[in-house]
Amino acid sequence: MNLMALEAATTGNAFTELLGGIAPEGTPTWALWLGAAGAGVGILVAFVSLVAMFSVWLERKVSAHIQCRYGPMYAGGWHGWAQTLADGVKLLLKEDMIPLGADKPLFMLAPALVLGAIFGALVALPLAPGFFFADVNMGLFLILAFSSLTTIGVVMAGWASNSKWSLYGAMREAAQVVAYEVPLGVSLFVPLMVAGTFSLTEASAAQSGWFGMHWFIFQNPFMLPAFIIFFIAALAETKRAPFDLPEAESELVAGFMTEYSGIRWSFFFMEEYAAMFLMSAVGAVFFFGGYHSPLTALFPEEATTGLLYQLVCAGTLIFKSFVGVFVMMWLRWTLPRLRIDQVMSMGYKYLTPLALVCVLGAAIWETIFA
Amino acid sequence: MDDKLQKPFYAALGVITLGLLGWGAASAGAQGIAFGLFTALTLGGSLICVWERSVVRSAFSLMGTFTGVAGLFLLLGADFLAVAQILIYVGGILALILFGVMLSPPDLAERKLSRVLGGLALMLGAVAWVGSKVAGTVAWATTDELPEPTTKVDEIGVAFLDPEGYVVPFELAAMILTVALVAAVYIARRKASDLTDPRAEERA
Amino acid sequence: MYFDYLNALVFASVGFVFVFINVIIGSIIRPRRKGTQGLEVYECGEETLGDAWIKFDIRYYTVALVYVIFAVEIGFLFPVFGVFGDIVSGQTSTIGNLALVHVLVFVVVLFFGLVAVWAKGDLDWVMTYKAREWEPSRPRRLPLARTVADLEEEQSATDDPSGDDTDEGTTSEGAEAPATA
Repeated sequence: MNLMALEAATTGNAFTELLGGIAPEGTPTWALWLGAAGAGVGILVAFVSLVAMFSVWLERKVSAHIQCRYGPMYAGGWHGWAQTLADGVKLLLKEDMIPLGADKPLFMLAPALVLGAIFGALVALPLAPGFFFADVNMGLFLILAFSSLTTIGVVMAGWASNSKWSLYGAMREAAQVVAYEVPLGVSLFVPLMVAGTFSLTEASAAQSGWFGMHWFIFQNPFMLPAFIIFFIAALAETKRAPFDLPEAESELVAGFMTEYSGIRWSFFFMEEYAAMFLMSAVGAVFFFGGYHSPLTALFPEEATTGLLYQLVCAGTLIFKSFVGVFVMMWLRWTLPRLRIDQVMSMGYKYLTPLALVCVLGAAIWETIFA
Repeated sequence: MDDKLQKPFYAALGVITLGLLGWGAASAGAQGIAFGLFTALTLGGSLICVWERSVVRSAFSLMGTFTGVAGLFLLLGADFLAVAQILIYVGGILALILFGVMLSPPDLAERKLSRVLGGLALMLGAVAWVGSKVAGTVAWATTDELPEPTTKVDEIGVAFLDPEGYVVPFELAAMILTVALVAAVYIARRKASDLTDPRAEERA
Repeated sequence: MYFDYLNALVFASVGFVFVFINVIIGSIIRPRRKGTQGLEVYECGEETLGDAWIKFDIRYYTVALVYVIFAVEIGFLFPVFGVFGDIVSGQTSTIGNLALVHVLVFVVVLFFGLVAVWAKGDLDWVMTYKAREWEPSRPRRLPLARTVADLEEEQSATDDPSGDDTDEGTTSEGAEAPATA
């Protein structure tokens, strides 16, 4: 077990440390790692499920209030908070349908692929200074790579369904994600230049100064346009309106997931909300201070290792991410859907050159002023 | 391929995977399991690719190959290369292959068992031949533990810009990419003109 | 490093397995009803026509082609920009401001590539290709409910020759192909 012995001793992962404190002397490192991985996996699954459930409830509430409705009000009592829970149980109990003409193995594989990719991407996200699953050296690059994996899952879902709607949706998804991955990556060069690191953990830690407001967005005049480009590209990556062509319900029924129903369908939904959260969190980490805010700056230096501080940090980042998620939902009810040719020309003709200009400007600024 | 052979093929693939995992675990512990897993992904993906009747399925199976190769890079301590492999090959080239496959007529190509087996035998023969030539001459480094990788991604970045490092290849890469972009799109456009209906004039 | 990537691998596999666990749990606790009505591919209530495994449009191919080039570019520039700030401030290297020139050259050269492709009109989406009618060279293995050709025979000569392909412009075995005059 030399592979784990090498790492488990040196890592700053909160679970390993916590277990190291509790476990009796002489516990083998692989047992510690197994315990830490088990705890991490449990927390991650619970976290993703909770984020997805809360986001679905929030989406219904936000859309309802924008349209002067109430949205779900009954399940669970207070403002229908348990609506998603009830829906989840219902979905679990629904008939598991695989169309007769479908490519069965691929049809079953696709949701697993999509969810596996998003779970893998979430590993690199640090919620608080010591509260991360893995301090991946190239966290940002890893997130980009894993999010491009979900595309393949979506194309697989669309093709395996053997439905015209699904195929159109899947091809649009692939083309759209492929076109917007470029401005997404290029616009992230700007904060990368300021941060000087790929690791989300280090980038978050670097933004603590001046009442927790030493945010990257204030460090360089090209950060704001870069963020706007990043946000637009993130909308397209997560297939949110106005870029929701892959599942455009008014023209493609439900796009690539037309043939999916019940519990299998719910995983695509889960992935969508997890991806929204992840993209917002990446934006928060690389533009808006990560887990730092004036609130976390109130803590004295010696308190920054305490559990309370960690919780406040995690709460700050989750709050910032949900602000991003809320804006995405708000946009959905504000902007009409784009056409496929508009989406494509926007990605390659406007966002990519603009992002490149931003990067060049930021590089010149960094050389001269920083 | 005959549908009757589908089950035996996948059963054999499962046996090979388990064998690789067990062999890895027995010989090198945890990293042996990892090596076995990635090897199984690589080999399994490529075997399914030549086996499957549907071209699109073949293309999807390449995903296993690309991911497995990324894992092997990772085990060699090249984490940047591994992630770049996933981003470029799975995200880009696989999407390209899928689009390309969907360009071709969606005919389900028959693959004769004899041809697949012949190809396999040819491949094994080539591997054996190269192996026999190389086996005595190369001193393989063997180790029981994975060493901590020495090259960090930061050093790659510095080396790209260093005049004594790789700045010339770095700039040349930009030129090559530009040429490739223009040329590839040009070729694709030529192909596009082929798509115009050849019988349009007859009809008119 | 290995530990962190191991975590990524473990979590990805957990996500992968999570789906199947839920599907299995669902299959155990849900009531069993047998019926084939729901197993038809959805086509807005109409009878399902043929299958969807069609020849797709080349314009998607061009988009992916441009992406591959830019993905390689992103791969090259990621490590560079990660250390760019340190280099120009003289912390990790003695190259100093020369680094800016190198990066400028790299990005500007690629920018020219983008401009060239743009000027040639390859980034334009709406290019109406007329698709060639496709006939299978071998008999197909998969059962077809009813082919488009059957349908065309049934409603003979009702096709509009100006059949536009405003959307993806694909043809389902000649469904949108220009009708014979």
